Amino acid sequence: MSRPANLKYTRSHEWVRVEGDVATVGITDHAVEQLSDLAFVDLPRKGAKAEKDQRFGEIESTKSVSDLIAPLSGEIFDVNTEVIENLQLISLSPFDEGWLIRVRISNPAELKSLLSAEDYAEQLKHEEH
Amino acid sequence: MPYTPHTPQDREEMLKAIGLEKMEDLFRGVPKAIRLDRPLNIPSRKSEAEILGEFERMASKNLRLDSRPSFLGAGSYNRFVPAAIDYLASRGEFNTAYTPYQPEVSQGTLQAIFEYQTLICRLTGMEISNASMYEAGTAVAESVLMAHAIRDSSKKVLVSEGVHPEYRRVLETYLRNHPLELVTIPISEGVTQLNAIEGQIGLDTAAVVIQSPNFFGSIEDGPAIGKLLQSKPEEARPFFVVVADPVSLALLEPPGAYGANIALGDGQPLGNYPAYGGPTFGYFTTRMTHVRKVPGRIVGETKDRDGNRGYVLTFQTREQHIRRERATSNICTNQGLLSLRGAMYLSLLGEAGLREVAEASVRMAHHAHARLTQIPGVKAVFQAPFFFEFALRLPVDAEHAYDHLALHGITGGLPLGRYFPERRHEMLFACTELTRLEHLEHLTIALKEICQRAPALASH
Amino acid sequence: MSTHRTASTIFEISRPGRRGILPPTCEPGLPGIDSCIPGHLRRQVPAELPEVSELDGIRHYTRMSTLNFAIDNTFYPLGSCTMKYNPRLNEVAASKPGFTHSHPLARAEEVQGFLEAMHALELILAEVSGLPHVSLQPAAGAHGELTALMMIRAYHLERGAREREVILIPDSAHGTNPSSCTIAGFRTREVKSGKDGTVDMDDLRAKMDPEVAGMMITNPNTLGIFEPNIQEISSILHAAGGLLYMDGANMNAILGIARPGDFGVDVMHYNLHKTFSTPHGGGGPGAGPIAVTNTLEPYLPVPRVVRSRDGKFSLSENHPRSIGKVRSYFGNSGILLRALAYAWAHGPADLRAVSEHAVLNANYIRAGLDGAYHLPYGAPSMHEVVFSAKIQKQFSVRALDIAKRLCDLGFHPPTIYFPLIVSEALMIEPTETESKETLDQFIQAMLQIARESETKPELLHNAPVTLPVKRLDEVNAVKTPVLTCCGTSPQ
Repeated sequence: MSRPANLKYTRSHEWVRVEGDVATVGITDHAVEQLSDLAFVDLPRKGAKAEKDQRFGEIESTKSVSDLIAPLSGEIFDVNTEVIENLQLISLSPFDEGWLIRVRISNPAELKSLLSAEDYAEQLKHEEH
Repeated sequence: MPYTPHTPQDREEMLKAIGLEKMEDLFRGVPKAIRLDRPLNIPSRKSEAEILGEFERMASKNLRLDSRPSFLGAGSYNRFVPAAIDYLASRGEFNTAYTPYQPEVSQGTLQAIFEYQTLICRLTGMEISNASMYEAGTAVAESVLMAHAIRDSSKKVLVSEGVHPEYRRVLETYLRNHPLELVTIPISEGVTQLNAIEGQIGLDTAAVVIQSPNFFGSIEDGPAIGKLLQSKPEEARPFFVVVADPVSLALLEPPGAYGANIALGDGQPLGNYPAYGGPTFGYFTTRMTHVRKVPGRIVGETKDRDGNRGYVLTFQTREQHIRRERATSNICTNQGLLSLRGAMYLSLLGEAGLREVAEASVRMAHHAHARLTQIPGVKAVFQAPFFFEFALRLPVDAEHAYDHLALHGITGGLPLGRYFPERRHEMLFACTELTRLEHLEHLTIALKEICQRAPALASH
Repeated sequence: MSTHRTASTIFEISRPGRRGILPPTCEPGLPGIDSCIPGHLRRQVPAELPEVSELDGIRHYTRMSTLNFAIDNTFYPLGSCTMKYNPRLNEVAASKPGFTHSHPLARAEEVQGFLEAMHALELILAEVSGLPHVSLQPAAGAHGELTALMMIRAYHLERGAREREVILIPDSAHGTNPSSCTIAGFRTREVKSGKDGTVDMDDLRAKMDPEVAGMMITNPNTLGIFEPNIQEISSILHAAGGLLYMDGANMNAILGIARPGDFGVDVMHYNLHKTFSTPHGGGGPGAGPIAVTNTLEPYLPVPRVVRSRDGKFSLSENHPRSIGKVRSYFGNSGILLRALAYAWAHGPADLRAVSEHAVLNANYIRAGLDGAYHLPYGAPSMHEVVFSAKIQKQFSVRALDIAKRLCDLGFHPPTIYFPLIVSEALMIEPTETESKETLDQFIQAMLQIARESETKPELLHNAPVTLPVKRLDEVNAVKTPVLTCCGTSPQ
């Protein structure tokens, strides 16, 4: 699976698509692969506040739980409720139909801390060891 | 040494394969400074025959409930344990297996738990059951922690005085390190009064805990309490936790039918011995919507690769081995073998059998209540409807009465002063399907005599 | 064929009107049930419990039992769980009617035999741990952890140290440790393991601060390695005002070899269902007694067993600093009796020999598999050894596949994917009760699987194939939960 070069990434394996003051957030193909058999996703309510580096939800396989970490702060104005019913959207299309939340960015300065696709690929290489 | 098969030659060969010279070398990872340099100071080895002899000697010093008429209950009952249960539960395939982590080699245990869950759900009218808790006391504590985890802004929990005092003490211990205030709702006429609950319910109430039949044997009006809680707006509605003796549910409206969020209780009456308090098991049931907050193991049905039915531990991400510090419960080992006995009991007695057990107990208790309250000086303590246990006020200290009943070869009911100092003249009598008219006759005669001699006894 | 090898459910074999065991008959002349219970409190819809004959019930459970691997029929080297032989002696001894038919609220003078046995067990557990006071009340290991943590909390609160609300936990710890901390009102802070698999002392020092109430440590740890710096760990904790808790899950490795009380532990729990051979019952019961120092003694749960000068036993509630009760009544008494029988069957020399042979067997397996499987830590192994399936993973074979293939070869698999610090972990604990021949067969099976990983990985991916069911779909079990037979109960 190709990893879109125009997205931003986090060390905790989320991706971010920035369009104006809106950030769409999901988890990467690598995260999906690590979780292997997705069984459950717990997402916040619309209108909840995302806080950078804090958890906004959880994603589970049958034998593991991972926190979903907010890459940016802001109001969560949209939640992809379809993935809750159909987890396959995340595993088959993590960067598109499997998106999780949309955040209205409250602190654009936080964008600087995100990784480029290249940096993220580099980090994954290190994790292999 | 017992149970270890190695011959000296085995040891030698194995050490050689490992590359060590002597057994002592195996412990080279343990710093010398802290190794024990003397034999343990414990009793020397006994043979199997000696051990059985010693155990027989000690066992013979204990009062056996089945050796004479007994009216002691209060949460642990002298019920009949069918022979088949001891036989089946002692099968090594059940008894010497671990928690079924590898489902393909544990289908027996898993299916048995799955059936147990079903049996308990049918009995309680609830939607889901876990695989068991330690006993009812910790199940009560865990139910309140679960309610608190779901209603996380709550600050207090209301517990009826009719909940077994042992369970309430356990809850108190558990809550000491949590920001939850425990409020006891006093009973009146033997039951929890609706207005007493209503007066304490607030937006900050995590749960209302009642027991029915309660510790005093009285049947709580669960449906009315359920209705009261249902009348609260959803965001202010506390969890309704009902503690229920499983045998009583053959006859009484089950908690699931009157809006309980959690129903739980002790499984001792289901094919388990009193055994000085354990092991028994706690059953724990709730609603499907709460499945991700349930403590303990849960078994689910699924399919194998060929599409055949099979069973697995499921929703494991709730549990401590995965969720670790964020788990809502720390339970790992449960009481599997005892809940298996419970499932066997319910299966082998069946619908009619369990009802007969409950009916025989209730009818004998009501007969006993009528007989005993005819004795001059003996009075009913409560007017509420009761099940198979009831409290009587005696003209003497109930502890004295217990002594004198013992002299008559009878195990009396529980002197309530042990838990409630103001109730030291009251005794809680339990009847089961094993209580015979002859036992009651014996008790009536002895109690009459005690009452006649009351003035003399009272002066002691 | 495999469809016919599993069992029907008890509900499927039920037939209306069939009776199993008949309870004692009701006495004549008793009041009718309708006069006893008001109608509005009566059950409206029957529970629909099964209706089967006694023989059908016996066959049903017997058939199900045959679908299990258990110690009695299979080598069961499940790491950390100590699946040793469960002596039948213990079962017979604890099942004497004088024990099974005694009531938990009987008076102390009516249960002198019980209390004598409990007192004897307390003395043994105190001596083996080197910690002088024992409570038998906790019902399981995790329950013992929780009890001890509550005592640690009480200890600090009594000293006005409300701010001490952090417990240090190594990253190799059992999941019960951190979750017990949370239930006891503590927060946890993880301490890293070093390259040798033991506590990283620099990280430990870095994690110390005035918030630390104590540390939970498993020793030998979950890698089967004895913590070489245990005394120093204890000193660091104590110097900072903290207490050291030991998870005794692996106590079976050091019976009579070293005592926690002697190496600086303040409180520990035993898993009697591991170290003292009581059966696991397909998940329980266990018993998790705790042993503590003199300093912590006042906080032990009540009631406490007391022996008076005249040799009489009683239960004492008079301990005002006690944390209270953690369980109703006395404890899992029947399990405690089994542990006493086990201790008596050994005595000092043979109890030590238990640990010697447990360690011998683990090291024999280690020697047999080293090389074929990756050994992530080279420190001496105690009673268990942890390998990684890293080598096999190159061929797309995972620890899970190895576990399933072992089932086909007639062995219960080791614990897999634990401890978390080892990728593709295979945690093997043979116990002392297994013979050299059994260990040799297991080693051969593991070596065969290592070869198959390279040559026939699909064989492993498809395993098991010889059992009543093939590999089960655990994802489906979560996504479409079926938690009771035939749907839910009638509402």
